[in-house]
Amino acid sequence: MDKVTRRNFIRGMSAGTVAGYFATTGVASTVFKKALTPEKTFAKTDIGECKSVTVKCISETSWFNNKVQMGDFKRCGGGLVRQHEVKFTNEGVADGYKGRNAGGYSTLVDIEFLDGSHKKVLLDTGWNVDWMNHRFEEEGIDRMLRNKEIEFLFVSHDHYDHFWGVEATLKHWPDIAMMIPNTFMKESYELLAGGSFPNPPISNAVPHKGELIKHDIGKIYQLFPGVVSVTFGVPCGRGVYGEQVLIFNLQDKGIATVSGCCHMGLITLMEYMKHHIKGGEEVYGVYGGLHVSPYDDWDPMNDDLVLNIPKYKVKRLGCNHCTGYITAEKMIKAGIPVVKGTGRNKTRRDIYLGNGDTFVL
Amino acid sequence: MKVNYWLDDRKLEARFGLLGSGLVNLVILFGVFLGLWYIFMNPRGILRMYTPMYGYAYVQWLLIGVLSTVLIYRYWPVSQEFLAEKHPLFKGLLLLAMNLVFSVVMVNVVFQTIVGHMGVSYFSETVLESLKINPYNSREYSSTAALMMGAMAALIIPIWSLHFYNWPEREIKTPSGKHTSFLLVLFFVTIGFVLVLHPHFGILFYPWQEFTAAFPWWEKTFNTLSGRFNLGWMVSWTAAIWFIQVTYEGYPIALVKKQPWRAIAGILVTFALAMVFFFGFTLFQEIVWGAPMRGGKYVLAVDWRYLHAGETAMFMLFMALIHAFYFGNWPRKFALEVNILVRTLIVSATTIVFYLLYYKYSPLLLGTQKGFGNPQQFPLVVISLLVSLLLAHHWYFDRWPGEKAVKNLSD
Repeated sequence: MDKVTRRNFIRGMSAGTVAGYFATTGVASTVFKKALTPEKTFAKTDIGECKSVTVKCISETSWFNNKVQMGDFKRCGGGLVRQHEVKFTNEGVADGYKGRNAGGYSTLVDIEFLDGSHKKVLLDTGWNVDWMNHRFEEEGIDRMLRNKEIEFLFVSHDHYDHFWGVEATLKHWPDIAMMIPNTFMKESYELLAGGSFPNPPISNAVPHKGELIKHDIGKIYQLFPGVVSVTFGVPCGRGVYGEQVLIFNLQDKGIATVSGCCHMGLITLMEYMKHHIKGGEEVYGVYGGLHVSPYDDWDPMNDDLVLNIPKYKVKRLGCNHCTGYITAEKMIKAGIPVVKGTGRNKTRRDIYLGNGDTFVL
Repeated sequence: MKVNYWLDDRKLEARFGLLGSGLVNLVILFGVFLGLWYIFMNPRGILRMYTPMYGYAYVQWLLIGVLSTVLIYRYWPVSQEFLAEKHPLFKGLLLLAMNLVFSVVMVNVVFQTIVGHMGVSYFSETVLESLKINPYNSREYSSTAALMMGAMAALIIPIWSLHFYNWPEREIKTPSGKHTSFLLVLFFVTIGFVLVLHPHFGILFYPWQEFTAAFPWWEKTFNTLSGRFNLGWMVSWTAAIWFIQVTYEGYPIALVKKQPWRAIAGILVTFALAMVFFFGFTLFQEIVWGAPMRGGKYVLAVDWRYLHAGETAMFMLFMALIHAFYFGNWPRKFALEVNILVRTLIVSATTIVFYLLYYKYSPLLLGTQKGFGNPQQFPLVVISLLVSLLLAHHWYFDRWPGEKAVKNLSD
């Protein structure tokens, strides 16, 4: 190897700097970047129109005590342990329901069409069957199911708190049609067929006998005029993959969405609607868990989300569940129109929509 | 037998030819890794420490133990004669056990107990829990602090050892010189941590702890508040240092011998390559997944893109180390520039293959979840453990059983 001289070294450094510039900053931020990352154009789907959507929060309290819930996850080995292996705390929780920490997430979606007719969809069916029975009874969901007034059960994803309470629905109507993401865990199918799992523990005494409609990732499914569902391929944790959401085009208002946990992220969802749904450039309303700080934990990446939401100019934002109280407080501080609730039926605070609250879009 | 310094004196010989021995060692490395992963980390395994930060903290400090043992302490307190005479399996297990103890002491005693209780609360799980942070996040947050300190140490140690010649260890021949070097490294690690990672913890809690931590200074330029941005460029820099040292045989920095020019050249050249890795891998992601969105999740998150650039650089580093240690850094017969070019192509190609295999098979083999971006999983844990074992195999176990030490060199 040649002996280094000041001249050789400076030459080498200069060449390296120029090469490095074009290899990184030059490519990444100037002429080449545009060629390498051309702006994509998307075909937008016209989903028709409906008149309005009324959302009734049956239960947003998936668990009643964050500390107990996170203690369970800590003991079992974290967020990647499959949900059927987790031993949940099922007694002695003072602020739980009859000593159990399990609650559940479930929402009734009432769609009004342009001709004034209505259709109802049950989004998710909770976790603790006793709690869901109680809430279904209080809100008249049991009667609606028995009278077959609900079109179908739309399962956003098969997380324990959204799906394991399926017996509470099936006991009233075993033949109800169900729409699920085509990414269900095999254990979720087993539970649906009447299976049980000892660790959580969880069981379903009423096997499903109705139509099971599976939605593929990335496809837009027209459910009614002005109403579609889309499934996102997203790792939700605890072995669950994929979540589907409802998207509406409301006459004279614009695009709105109702989700279970919104694991794909609110920004991703709004960007999807902007690019794929006609009229999605402006979002009128949002409802659902937004999956930001479900255990009132925090992370600076969540600040990135809160600071970016105002750019989308959402007119009405109804949130709860895995959104977390800290997120709601930060969103309100950032000027986001978070709709307040009434803080009853075991929802602890009125800062966002809680159990029994109604949200009209 | 008199041995000056075991790593300089030892001569290893392949038992089954270069390729055969390399493959034997590779299979053993992955076998040991998978066994340890199942026992300690796998979410479907026994101890399930891949939560992920809890396990990551111990892995990161295990790596620091290995690096410190060789680069700072030059195996002290183990004698060079002991290293030359003892069976690789015996001395390897002994040194690795010492590093494991070091890791546990650093995480549980130094950070969790002393620093967390007497200095900075977020280093202690029990203090955080007493401040009403839930049990799971208390452990994750405190582990994150410990591992980020370790990530800074993994960057500073090779810079200090390779480009500052581990000053003053070489001038002071007693153990005091080694301790002084180690303490100097810890000093710079602490300064670095406070400047680039402490602001992340300042806004990790609600409300923001603005009286005790500066606002993240990188936010406006890099469009994120998360300290994962810093972790991304730091591990890219760590990868670049080793890549130049191993694959490029130190070229061109090795041409500069005198201080302070060597230190300046070492920092500038390795940082330049780190930026090539960091921005280059960020660009690749943009080509594949489109532009990131602030506040987006998973593969669309701005902070994750930066972190993943660092993760990809570490994938590349791991391939470079395997190529150098197990396969003789082939080729060696051409001009240095040609050798470097061919090696770069080999390492780049194997990195792509390893990357794709990792994301395809890690759910099956490691108990992770399908998908690329996910805050619940950190491929850096996997790579850091693999690199720790690989370095230990190379430095402690003399690449046994694929290779054997040829003795009596220094008799």
